Amino acid sequence: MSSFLTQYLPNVSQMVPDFIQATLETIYMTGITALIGGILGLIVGVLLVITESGGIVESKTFYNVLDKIVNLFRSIPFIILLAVISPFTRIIVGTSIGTTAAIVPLVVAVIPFYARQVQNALLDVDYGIIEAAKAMGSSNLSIIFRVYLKEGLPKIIRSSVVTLISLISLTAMAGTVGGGGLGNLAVIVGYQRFENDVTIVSLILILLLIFIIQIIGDLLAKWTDHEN
Amino acid sequence: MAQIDLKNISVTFKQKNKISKAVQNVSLSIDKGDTYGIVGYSGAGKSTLVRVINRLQEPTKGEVFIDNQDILKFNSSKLRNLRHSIGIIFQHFNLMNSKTIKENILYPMLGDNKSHEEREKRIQHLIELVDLQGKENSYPAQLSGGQKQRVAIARALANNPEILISDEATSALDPKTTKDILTLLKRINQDLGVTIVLITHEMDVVKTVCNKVAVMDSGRLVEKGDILSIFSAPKHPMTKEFINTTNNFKEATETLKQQDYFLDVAKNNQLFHLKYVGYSTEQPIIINLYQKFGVISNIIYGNIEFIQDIPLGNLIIEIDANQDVIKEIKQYLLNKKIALTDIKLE
Repeated sequence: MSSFLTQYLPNVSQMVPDFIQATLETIYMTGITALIGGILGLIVGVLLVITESGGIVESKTFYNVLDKIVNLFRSIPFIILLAVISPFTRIIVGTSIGTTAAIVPLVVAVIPFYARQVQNALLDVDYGIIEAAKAMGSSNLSIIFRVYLKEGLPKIIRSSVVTLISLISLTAMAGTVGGGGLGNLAVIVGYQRFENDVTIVSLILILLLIFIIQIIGDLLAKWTDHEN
Repeated sequence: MAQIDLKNISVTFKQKNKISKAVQNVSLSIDKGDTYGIVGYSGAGKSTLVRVINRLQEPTKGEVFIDNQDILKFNSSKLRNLRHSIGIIFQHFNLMNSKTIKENILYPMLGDNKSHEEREKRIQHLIELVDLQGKENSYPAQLSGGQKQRVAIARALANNPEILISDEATSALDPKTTKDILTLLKRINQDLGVTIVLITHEMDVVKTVCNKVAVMDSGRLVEKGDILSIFSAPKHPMTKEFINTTNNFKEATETLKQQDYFLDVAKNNQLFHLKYVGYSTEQPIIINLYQKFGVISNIIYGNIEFIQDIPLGNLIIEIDANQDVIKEIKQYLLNKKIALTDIKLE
């Protein structure tokens, strides 16, 4: 086994601890971003749905402003966002380099992306069901939590998988500017030092993470979906 | 005083410079215990009008009184309370797909101060009422259309409402299921005393369950009244059109048009539409005409239906007599409250 490693993966075999650390860094960046960005994105997504014309608390101005902001942030290429946002990052976490610092731009990028996904998932909830809830005397909060989020849950889970997968690719990008993680390993070590085996193993680990997320997400979506 | 009193209701929608008047100046009084049918083609404004009752639709103009209370003055918490006492069922059921049948029926009860046991008991009672025992833990997707509508009915009744609105509740169902659901609605009206406001585009549905009916056309209410008088003496062309859908009278005359013999009879003014309501016809008309006037009459087509247990007859008859005698016959029948009108086939 070890001879196989040294023969085909000469560089990787020397840096197993680095791989472990990089994987943990990627998981850490993804996890924290998913948590913060997920909650904020969900809130923005819900706000978009309920303030839209015909929504339960229709407000054209609010919707238009929020909608434009979401579009604006979604339009900024992530690599540029990383640079633009660094002063803000420094204010929040005290530094603009490192894994924790990478989380700030990741969150900023994930919120609008996830908000749109959530919005689409919730717009798929049959308006008739919302109307029925209204007719039964439900308050707006009750409609959001007991109807929209419950009925939209399977689709929200599927959107979350899509978001998590894009998030992992964003962490790879963030890694190259000092965020660490598997992306950093693949590009800074593997690519720039011509250690090809490092790049490939990093890629395999990233794909493995995505694969696991996909499987868990599919199972959860299937488990919560009673529509068919 | 009526239980539901809609006064001069107008609803106008504005969409990008286009103004559509969905409901125009409609007044309607619905008494406690009524099963009030509102009939019209799609787009006539029935749903919009009825949604004003629980303010799912805010009227542009007009007043809404429920049990003498001006509900347009209600704040949001009072409005939510009102909505608890008005059940509603829809064409597409609108059940929550992520909840089981039991959870769907429980939903409107959430937030009241009943104990868990009381709610459970209520759910069980409702499930028995709508005859869905054994389906408690199924999901809506596992049920047929008729069963879904039963769940919707149970859900609508969860808070013991005084009013039940049925918005095209049978329009997506097959004829047999429609009949079952209508029977259930009728039972709810009779046994529980729930006032039912029923929107439909099918006059047959109205005939089966309603005691009163209003006909709507392009946002206006064109005719209203108790069902027997509407069916026996419709005035507005739209009402007549709807009533004709419940019998084959129109088709019968179309068939007669194909035959030269009847064209001749009609040309000689000897073809008639005889219409009667109730048992005013205890004496056999045909024989009476023979005995009194010596004329032979022949029934060519007959449709007798029961509206709220009262027979309503529409016959096409041929009377072989000259016009003077026919004049006398008409007068004679009129005294017996039987209408005889000429049928022209061309």
